[in-house]
Amino acid sequence: MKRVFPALAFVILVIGAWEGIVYFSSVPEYLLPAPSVIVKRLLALNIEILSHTAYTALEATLGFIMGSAFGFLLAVAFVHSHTLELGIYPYAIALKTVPIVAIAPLLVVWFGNGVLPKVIVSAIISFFPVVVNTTKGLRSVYSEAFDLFDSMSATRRQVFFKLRVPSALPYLFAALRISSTLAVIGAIVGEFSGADKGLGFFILISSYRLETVDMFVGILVSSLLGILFFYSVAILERIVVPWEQGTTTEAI
Amino acid sequence: MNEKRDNRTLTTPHFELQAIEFRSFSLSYPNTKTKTPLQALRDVTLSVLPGEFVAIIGPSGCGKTTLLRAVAGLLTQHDDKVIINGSLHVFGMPPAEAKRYRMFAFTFQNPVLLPWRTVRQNVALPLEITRADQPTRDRAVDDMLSLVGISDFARSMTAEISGGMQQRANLARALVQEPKILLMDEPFGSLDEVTRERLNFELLRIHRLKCQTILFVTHSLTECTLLADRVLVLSRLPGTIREIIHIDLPRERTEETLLSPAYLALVRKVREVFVREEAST
Repeated sequence: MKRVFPALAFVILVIGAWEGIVYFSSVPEYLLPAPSVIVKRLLALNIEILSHTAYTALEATLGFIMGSAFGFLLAVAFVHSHTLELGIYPYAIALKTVPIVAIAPLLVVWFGNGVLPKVIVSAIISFFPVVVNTTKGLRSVYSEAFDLFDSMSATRRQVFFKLRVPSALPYLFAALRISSTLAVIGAIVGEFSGADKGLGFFILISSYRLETVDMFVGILVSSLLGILFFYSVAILERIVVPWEQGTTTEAI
Repeated sequence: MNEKRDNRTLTTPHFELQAIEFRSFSLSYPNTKTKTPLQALRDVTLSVLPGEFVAIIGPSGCGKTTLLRAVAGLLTQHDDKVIINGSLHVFGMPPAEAKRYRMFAFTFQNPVLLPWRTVRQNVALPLEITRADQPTRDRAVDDMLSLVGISDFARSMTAEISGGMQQRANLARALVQEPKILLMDEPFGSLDEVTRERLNFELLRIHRLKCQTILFVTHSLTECTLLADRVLVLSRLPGTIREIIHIDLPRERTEETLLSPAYLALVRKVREVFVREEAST
């Protein structure tokens, strides 16, 4: 609680100042609405905004799971075959440099206006940190531990499941924390390129109509969704990797 | 080589075979840069009886660890590209084969406990590898935990226990498969003096009970004299046996031993040989 307090105090201060500035100055609402107006609008929109959120959440979740799973499997393949790693790893990294905003419209052309293109955008963007960090994690085992397993005549399979995978888990979760928020961004970017539902669609439509209050509502809710994703992964991490408390393993 | 078969070292007389037998054994590591292989061991000839406790000392980087790893079958011509001449047999078998029969347990200077497992789960690891059934596993693990005196810490995570306790867990894990040969690479090197001494006596007690053959690498002159039946002094690189010192103290060694004139004389003797070797170039 002591650690949360300064952060909480700061955000209250900022919102208070914002409210005050809007109240005492004559900034028009279509430029900067007051926080109280945004919250009121959010509550008024309840069912509508909830259905958009659920839609985006579904896309982001599917994309996150697919991207992470594929990233994990590719990392496993890399540590088993050096040739495969030399052949594919550079392109897996190159994929990161392609702006996702540039790919999204193409995916809409290919796969239409439905869920699929957003899931793919979301998967591509969350794939990268997982593949890089899991590869690093699976290789993070120090040589004495391999010698220990070797001296016990462990099979390759046992070395993999009892040594490599548990060693990689902290690295994997460091990547998943980052991927989880990226997945939400991916889904929204996908929706910008063509959709009839979702938070991205909602924000875009509001901007066309110059409904600034609605845009702020969209931004607020999508941020909250990102935070929800992040903390879900963080909680899962505490359950699955209890031995790595506090020693954060940096992700790329 | 002096093969004095005194009764003290013959704890398991039904074995006809030597536990470990080196015959003009040499080992070199390949060097990709200079193309000339680095010779780590040269012309080592040594027989270790079953149940014997042999300590190995020598200058830093003299091939002590290499010797141990060769016995454990962790260095092979096929996988590690090392160049081996002469022969090395463990109970009449090549090391790689003996490893498959799980004759060894290896302990490292670092206890190498897996942080995601409790102490108990760490000790059980070798039995999981061999797929021992659950009741056997539980019984063996419980026995070992109490033998090394860490039953109270069975459920602790490994990061929560002290260095001494970690080494006890390491020892329990090594012993849980009832290995015939225990290969220990400076197991107590990073512990404080008092903890090290306590673990030395624990190890002696377990050795009296289980009569494994032990090869024990150490830097400590007092430790090797206290523990071993024979102390092997290796030369500088390439390592070869400079001298074998018989520690003819009674097997039953206690804190009294540490003060006895016979023990102190032996420590002095080991020191002389060691210092002479260290000084030579």
